Amino acid sequence: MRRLFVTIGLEVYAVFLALMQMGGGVRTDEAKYLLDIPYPHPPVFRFFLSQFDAWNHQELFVRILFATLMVQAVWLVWDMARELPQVKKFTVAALWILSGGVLLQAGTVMMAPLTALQALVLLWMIQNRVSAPYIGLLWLFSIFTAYQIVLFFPLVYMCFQGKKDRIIYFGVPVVLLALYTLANPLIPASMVVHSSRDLTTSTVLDRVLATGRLWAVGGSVFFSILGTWGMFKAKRWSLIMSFIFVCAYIALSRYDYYAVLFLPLLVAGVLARPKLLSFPRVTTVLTAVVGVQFAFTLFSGLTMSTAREAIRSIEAMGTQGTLLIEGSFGHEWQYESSYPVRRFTEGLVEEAGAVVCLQECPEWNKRSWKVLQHEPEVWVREKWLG
Amino acid sequence: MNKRLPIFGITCIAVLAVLLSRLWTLKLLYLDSDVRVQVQQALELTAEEEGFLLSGFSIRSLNTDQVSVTHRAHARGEDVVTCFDIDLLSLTRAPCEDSSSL
Repeated sequence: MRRLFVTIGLEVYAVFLALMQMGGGVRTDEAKYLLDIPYPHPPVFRFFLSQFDAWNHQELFVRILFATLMVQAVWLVWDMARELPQVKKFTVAALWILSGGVLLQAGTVMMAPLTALQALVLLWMIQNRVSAPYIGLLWLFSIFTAYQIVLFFPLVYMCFQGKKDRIIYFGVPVVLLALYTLANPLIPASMVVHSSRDLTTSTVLDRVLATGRLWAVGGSVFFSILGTWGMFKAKRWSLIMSFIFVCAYIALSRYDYYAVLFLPLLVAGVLARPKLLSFPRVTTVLTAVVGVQFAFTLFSGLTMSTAREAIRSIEAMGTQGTLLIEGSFGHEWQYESSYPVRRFTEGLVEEAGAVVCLQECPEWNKRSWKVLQHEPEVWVREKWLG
Repeated sequence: MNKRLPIFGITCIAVLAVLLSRLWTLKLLYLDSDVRVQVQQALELTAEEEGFLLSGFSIRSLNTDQVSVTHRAHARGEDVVTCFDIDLLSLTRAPCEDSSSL
């Protein structure tokens, strides 16, 4: 009965985190997964999400689903810590649910939290000596969810070490991922485009500091310190190797949402050296304070996306026809719009009901058009303005 | 392979079959650099003139003279799929002759 109440309490927390993320509207990467746009990640999860993209509440449902998976994963952490004294078990569980990774990212529709979760399941399987085929299946499933799971390959490799089937269970999914990448040329093309992001404008020091910031955010500082210290102190080389890969990946990519990738490693690090939890209650309180501060800063700064605001004002006019957009635009426009969305070209104006200019508006015959709003500049056909 | 979990082997074989079939369709992209450049130009031109995003394109078939592509306009609900046969020399396009499998 007590477990049921805790589960319900955790679910309330998960719904709260999901609702907090709703404030900013759908981001371009989230739209890619919700609409099953085929890059950059493999299809398993985004295909599943797109099966109900016609549903009005898809965004809310998926946010709650992802937040639930992240928050309820605390039961895995709880099980992994089963040999610790009760107070330390509570502390490790609290460190998970109060970490910046969970607080800031549990309600996002991103693949990074799922990767973190899959890595946690992997660690749980390794600790429980689950048989190789099941680990192989999880590895295959994870690899076809998101590329970044390969950062955790030292963990998988170590757990197959000494087993005669290791080449099959470890290697075959990697080969299939390579073939998948070749079969979808848009993916390597987009990786090349995005891999050079900020490379020319930032120094090595900038990248080290940015990586350090995400490491601190991921574990609300205190969990980050304890987990990292634990994995190095216990000389868990597979954890240390994965940790180094995650750091290098973040240093190169610098996307804030990768902070959550540290979380499973930090859990394993703390459990590898539980003696480090000398002051469990103080650690929990300090982690909570820092985590809540991070969350308050993020959620209070969320503003509604330009796409959602602009589309709402166009829809309010009862406009019909295609929506043309001038300038570079993200996939959130496709997600928010009930109209077909296309890039502006003069030949398409005839079938257009609205034009949004994200950069300087091009010239076309605007006799039957009126400006609906500025910032961004939105034009609709005069007849829709009544 | 462990007999307790044939599902791993079955899944891998199924995925491999799908990927090999797709790679066979695209083989000229990797084997012929001229075709690769022409396909890129054909897709970019089509995207520019039709106002499409490149991420919506998928290649159905490819030979040295022609590429057949579909464009999926990703949106909430049912996506609109358009199909073009594009001549790789002239870069002219026409609706697909065979669009039954869309």
